[in-house]
Parts: sequence; structure tokens; C-alpha cells
Amino acid sequence: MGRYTSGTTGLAAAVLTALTLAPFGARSAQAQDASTWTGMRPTLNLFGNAGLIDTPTAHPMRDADLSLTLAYIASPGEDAQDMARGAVNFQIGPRLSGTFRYIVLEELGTTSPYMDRGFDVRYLLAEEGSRRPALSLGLNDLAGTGYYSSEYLVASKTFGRLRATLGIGWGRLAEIGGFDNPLSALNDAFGDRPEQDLSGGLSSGELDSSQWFRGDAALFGGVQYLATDHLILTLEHSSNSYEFEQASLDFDYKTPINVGATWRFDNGLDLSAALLHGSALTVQMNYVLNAKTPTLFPTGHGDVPPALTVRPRFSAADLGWSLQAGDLAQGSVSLDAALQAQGLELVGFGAQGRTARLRYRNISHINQARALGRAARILARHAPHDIDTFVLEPVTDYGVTATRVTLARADLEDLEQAPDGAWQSFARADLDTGFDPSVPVPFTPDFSWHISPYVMSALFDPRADLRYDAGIETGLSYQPAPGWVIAGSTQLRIYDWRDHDVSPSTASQNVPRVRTGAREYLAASRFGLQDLYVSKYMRPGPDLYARASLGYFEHMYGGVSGEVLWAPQTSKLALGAELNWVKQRAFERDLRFQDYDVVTGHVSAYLRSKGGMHYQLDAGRYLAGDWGTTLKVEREFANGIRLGAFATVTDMDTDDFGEGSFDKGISFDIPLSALTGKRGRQSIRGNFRPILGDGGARLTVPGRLYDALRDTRQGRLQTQWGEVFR
Amino acid sequence: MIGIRLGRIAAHVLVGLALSGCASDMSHQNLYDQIPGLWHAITRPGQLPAAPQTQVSSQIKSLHMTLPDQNWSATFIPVTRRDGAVTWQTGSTDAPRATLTIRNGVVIATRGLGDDLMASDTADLTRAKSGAKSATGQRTNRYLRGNGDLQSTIFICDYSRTTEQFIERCTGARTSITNTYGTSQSRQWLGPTLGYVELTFTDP
Repeated sequence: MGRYTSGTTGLAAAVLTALTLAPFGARSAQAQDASTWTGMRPTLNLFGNAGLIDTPTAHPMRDADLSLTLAYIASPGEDAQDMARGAVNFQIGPRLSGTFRYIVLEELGTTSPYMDRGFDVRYLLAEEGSRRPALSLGLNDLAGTGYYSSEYLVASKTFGRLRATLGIGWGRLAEIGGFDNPLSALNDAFGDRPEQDLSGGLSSGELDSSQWFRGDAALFGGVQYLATDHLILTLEHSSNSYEFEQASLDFDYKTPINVGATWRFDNGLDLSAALLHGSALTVQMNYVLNAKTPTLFPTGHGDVPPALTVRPRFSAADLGWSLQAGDLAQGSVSLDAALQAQGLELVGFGAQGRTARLRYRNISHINQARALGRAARILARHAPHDIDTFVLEPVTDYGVTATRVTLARADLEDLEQAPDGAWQSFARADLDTGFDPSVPVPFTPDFSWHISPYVMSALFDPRADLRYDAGIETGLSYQPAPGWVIAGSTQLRIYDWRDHDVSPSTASQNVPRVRTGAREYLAASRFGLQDLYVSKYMRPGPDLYARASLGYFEHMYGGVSGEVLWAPQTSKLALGAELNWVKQRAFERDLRFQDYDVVTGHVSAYLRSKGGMHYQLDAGRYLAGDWGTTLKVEREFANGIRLGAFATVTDMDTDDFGEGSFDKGISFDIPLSALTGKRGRQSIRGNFRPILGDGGARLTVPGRLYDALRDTRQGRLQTQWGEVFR
Repeated sequence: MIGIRLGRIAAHVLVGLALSGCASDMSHQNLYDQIPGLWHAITRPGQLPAAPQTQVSSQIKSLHMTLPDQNWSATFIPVTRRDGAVTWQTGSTDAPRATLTIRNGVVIATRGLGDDLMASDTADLTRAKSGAKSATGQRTNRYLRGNGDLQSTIFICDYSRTTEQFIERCTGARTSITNTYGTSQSRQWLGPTLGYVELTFTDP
């Protein structure tokens, strides 16, 4: 579901998706005062950061802004080479932002264009005040090849329509006009910047903090003028003299002065053009989406809760009838249809006395509390009047339940239209873990299948710059009894496109090729079994969950997997442990295996924090037998958008890992409903890794416990409860 | 060169999004539903998708509603009445497309219109309409903003009356609006995205 990219996936895929979805745009400041910068977001520079043209400015983007940049630099002259740049910037919090950037240098590589990748971070030290400028600190090209390494401290101040910026930079931002590093006063070591190994080889990708803020420093700055409420003019003095481009790409550097203009549309799109260093012409497109409110239709359209049927005051209940099982069996046919109309599936339905119990699967609502409210309304419409208590249990895709909600029907009726009804209903509801081994679980076996096209792309493979596959995918899933899942999927490749042929891997021979064999898996056979497994989910205790799985878990590995998770209902913390024994599968992706096998496992801590932040720390043994730790940080929004970054450090030698040195990347999950306003759970999701290596490689297992339970844990339902009547 | 490459990427992303398949359950068919939504949103952003065509019997009271700024209109029928507020609905019973909740002729909430009026505190208006002496009052509209947060917009209003209509003139921090209420017709401002709504009640 939602598998549009996989493996080492394309930045450009998301970027281009954004291009086509540009009209969704960020909500513009519709009523802003057009004669000043108030409420206007900053412009983005050619590197994808808030800035002028080459250099940064101090003002941050708005919290949760996701900014995409595509820029093309055309150098005149026969020998000069053009450059293309793309970047994704995310304002992680009000002060911290990160950028993932790639730069395509056509002729620098040998057989294929060279693609430089890097990360930037910046932090807002001080907001602009009436007297004080905005002040930011930033580091560019971390853990990348180092061609663009620089650090800076920059201040910006607004004067009506004018905005002025002045900063001090190190590294690439100190190539001209440099002076002795003022930080040398603190420590002589700051005076020299260590030579950087720019061979782009095995040492690149490390986090080389030994260079930071060292060497000569230089000043940069500029002004921006808001000519109209759509046109911004920029004049800049840049301390980046493009030395590297002059040497390797015949860049014609004439002057440190850059001039440019930006046209700002109302939907989050900016188009800019600039004259770079007196010789090159640049065009740039930026698109900004705010993850908090990505569309003009935050409440969605066409997805309305059915009216709550209120029981008449004096009804059959007063005659003291109690419900018989037979009465319900007839009712449940239309109950199923009613649930389907609201994007839910019936899993089980039962009643005892005056209590009706409904287990349902939420197929199409991002917000689980909203799905719960819809289920309650449908139950109110179908349950006979003498039922006065509803017990609702959301069941996740793998048949796991985390929470049971008990509501009094009268409370639902009283509070549906009250102004603060949602929170009052929460106070009156009873949420518990639903752990009751003695009560038989109402359950309908579920069988589902699908056939759909798929596309898979790999953009950042260092050995071939762009490749993609398209074909037909089929899948089956069968849940014969509570807690059991049998599932499988296959892929048949129909079309593939590769820019260049495979060249030998840069990965070391010292480590098993646990992930870098990716293209062998694609090349060996058109038809492949992606996964085929059986899993059993258990609840040994109210806060304890367990899973055991056997089979082929992903296209590269199969074996056995076991996991436990301790996830107390209202706690923000969960702890888990997983142990797997897997063998590497044959390249043909059939039922056979290769010789390599490994025991992998991790202990994990999951923390949900305010502001929608999720942290996950895993420690253990990875597929190549290396030991290490992964940290993943993710921000989740109410509309289901999730954006995160991860990094793994293991005891594998960075030389053996290969180019890139350690595993790192960014992850995204953007539900289509957040962009269209129409209900549904399909999303565009994937991971970007600048380089795919064999270190820090984790097994992919379908249906891991925390992911399966994440949305329906009590704490999460509680956070979302405001939507229960929507 | 780069342009061609980017073009191919765009093509494969769009192809991936556009194609769907067959499935036994809803989770995969949801993508199929999203395609018209995506297409509509790309070609006509800022516009609500077309309204459902509801057949309405002439035997019952109905409400015709138009959003002139959105070029959108639909016919609603009453479905529930609670505490003097009537909820009108368009679309089918099990899957309504939009609802309006109206008390004493004043829209106090909408659902399904994309940027809904979540709630509205119009106590002063109700008092003024029913004949109270005061000519000024306050109105609070609530909308969903940011991360599921409710944001209040407060207006200071003054009221006046003609033989046919009751007029509410309000000024807020960024907007000034004028709502008019007649016996069977009214024009009310729903919010910054939807603009004004024109309502016409039809008795059987």
C-alpha cells in the first residue's frame, strides 16, 4: 500500500510530485500588509536554504514549512559546465531547520554526472526585535563530500520594505575577502582549516567536525527590497568565489556581486532568476508547503459524519427488554454497509444485555479518534434502543488491538453538539487496554487481495544515477483467526530504465554485501516473490505485545523473527526487543536461499514527545554482523504528514562501508488526503539515503509491533480526541 | 540532459499515482478515489469539487444553498433537530457530503465544505433578532487551523432592521462583513475561504 518508491529512493520523485501539486501550496498571508515584510516568508537561495542568492539570511521559515528548491545554473562559454541543484528544507521547529541537498555536476563524473549530496543545519539564535536583528548560526554540507563545507553566523534586519543582511562565514563562505579568524583569539587552532580530502572517496560522508569554524573568515551580505507584494529584488556581496567550480568546471567568476529577482505567487511557489558572479544566469523554482496546513481546505470536503440518531425519550428500553444474539445477526448486514460508507470495515460485532461491542478496522481515516466517532454514530443508528453502552475496539491492519473504548450512549447524544463536547466525552469515556483473555473475541476471518501497478526508483545509487522499474504487483492477506496473518506479494517487472550500466561497487570486500546487492536482485529475474510469511500476534499481558513470524520477509531476506513490545497505555515511552535469524535470498527472488545467514536483533526505545515529535533509538546487531545504534527523529502532524531523519553508527569501519561512511537519510510519509482534502489513507512515502551501504542495515519485517500499534494506543487516541465528533 | 531526466522522473511519479488496480477491499480502492481529487486540485485549486446532485421531493422543506465565490451550490434537506438547531444535509444518509447547522436562520456550523465553520457563538445576534433593544453585539466564529487547533475570529457587530430583513454588520481584525437575514432567504459569511453563502428555504 502506498509503495511508490522503495530502496534508495529519489529525491526528485518527491520534488517533482510537489511540482505537480504546487497549486496546493501553503496558505498565503491573504490579508497581509503588502508594504512590509511582516508575515512574508524569506526567499531561498541557490543551496535551498533561507537566503539571498549564494549566501544565507537569518530569518527562519515558518514552523513546519517544507521547502523544495530546484535551480539551474547556466554558464556561458564553450567550456563552462552547467550545474543543477535540488534541495529539500524542513523547518523542524521554530528555530531548527535542516536541508538535504543534491547538486548535479554534469561533466565531473567519469561515465555519469557526478551527484554531490549533503546536509545542512541552521539554528535561529534570536528572533528579530524592534532594535535587534534576527541572528542565525548554520553549518553547511555536513556528512557530505565536503565540496560545499561552510559555517556561518548571520544577522538580518528589516526596515519597512527593505531587509538587510550581514554575516560572517568560514570555509566556502570565506573564499574571498578573508581575514584572520576572529575565533583564533579563543584558541590558536582556529586559525587553520585542516585540509579536506576532496577525492570524494572513502573518507567522504563522515561528520568532520574538526574543520568547523576554522580557517579564515570573511564577511558577506546583501539587501532585499520588496518592490511589490509579489516582487522581491536582491543584491548580494558573496564571499563564495566558486573556487572549486572555477578549477573543475571552467566557471567564469567575474565579481562577488550577485543580483536577482524573485516573483512570489500566492500558493507557495516562487520563481527566481539571478546573475551569478557576473557571468552565469540562474533560474530557480521554490515551492513551500506547510506541513501543518498544506491545503486551503483543512477540514476536508465530502467527508461528513452521519447524523447521530437520538433515541426518543420513552422507548422500548423502558419495557426492560434485553437483547438476544439473534436480533443482532439480522442487523449486522446493514451495519457492515454503513461502516463501509464511512471508510470502516466490520471485524466483529457482539452484544450482551445492554452493551453492544464493535470491533472495526479503520481503512480511510488518518485520525483514529474521528474513525471511532464515526463507528459510534453508526452503532447509534443500528443498535436497538435498549442498548445503552457501546464498546468500541479499533483493530489495526495486522489484527492487533491496543485500546478499548467504552462509551455511554446517553453521553454521545448529550455531547455531540455541545461546544466542548469532544473533551467532555473523553472525560466520561472509559479507555482501557481491552485485555480480557476470558471474553471471547468477536472476529470475522478476513481475506483480501489486490493487483496494482507499481513504480520503484533509485536515484542516489553512486554507480548509476537514475534507474526505475515499473510493473504489476499482486498481494494477498488472510487473517483466519484473531492474531494470525498469512500474507504474500509478488512483483512482475514490465518496464525498466537505466541511465548507465552497472559499474563495480565501491563497497569493501571485507563485509558481506547485505544491501549493495540491490541491483542484482532487480536484474536477475523479471518476476519475484517479494514476501510470503505467517505471523502470530499475542498479548501476554495488558501492556505487553508479542509477535512471531516465519517466512520471506522482504525481497532480500527470509527466516524467523520474534519481537516483544512493552507499551503501557498512557505512557509516552515504549520499549521493545526483536531477534531474527535470516538467510539471504537468491537473486532470482524465488524460494531459494544463498549461503549467507545472520542473527540480527535490536532493543528499541520509542518516545512520543510534545509537538508531535517521535524519537526511536535502536541498538543491536545489523545484517552485516556489525553492532551499533540507530537514532530516528520524526515530526508527525495532525493531518498524518510525517517527516523525519535517521542516522546509524556502527562498529563497521567507515572504509568498509564505502562512500558515505555511515548510514543516514530522511524519511517522509505524506498522505494524499492531506493534499487533496479527500478522505483516504494512501500516502506518498519513502526514505532517501544519499548512499546505500552495507553497514547499519536493518532487516525489513512487515508488521512490526510499534508501527502497527502506534496510532491506536490510548495516549495517541487521547491526543486526537478533539476530532471524535468531526 | 537534466531536463530530460527530470521529465522522466515526473512522468514516472505521475504514472505511479495515476494507475490503480483491482482490490478486494477498500484500502487499495482508496487510491482510485483520490485520483479525481488530485486532478481537480491540480487543475482547479482553491475550488471545491462539484456538489452532489440530490433529488429532493417537493413534499418536504428544503434548502437551496449557493457559494458564489466558489461557484458551488447544492440542495439540503433537514435531518435532525436538537436544542432548536436544525442540521441540513446533502448527499446520502450513510455518506453525507456536507451539512449546515442552522438555528433561528443563522448558520452556526458547517461540515464537509473544506474550510468549515466549526462553531459560531451568536447569542447576541439571536437576542437582537428576537427583538431585544441593544443594537450592538459580538460574534465569534471558530475555524480549524494549524495542527488541529481551533482558532477564534471575533467580530464586533451592529444590528439594524428593515421591513423585510434583519441586517448584521460586523467588523473584525482583518475583515468586514455584512449578513442579511430575510424570511426565506439570507446571505451569510462563512469564512475567508468559502466567502458568503446564499440560502433559500423552500416550504413544501
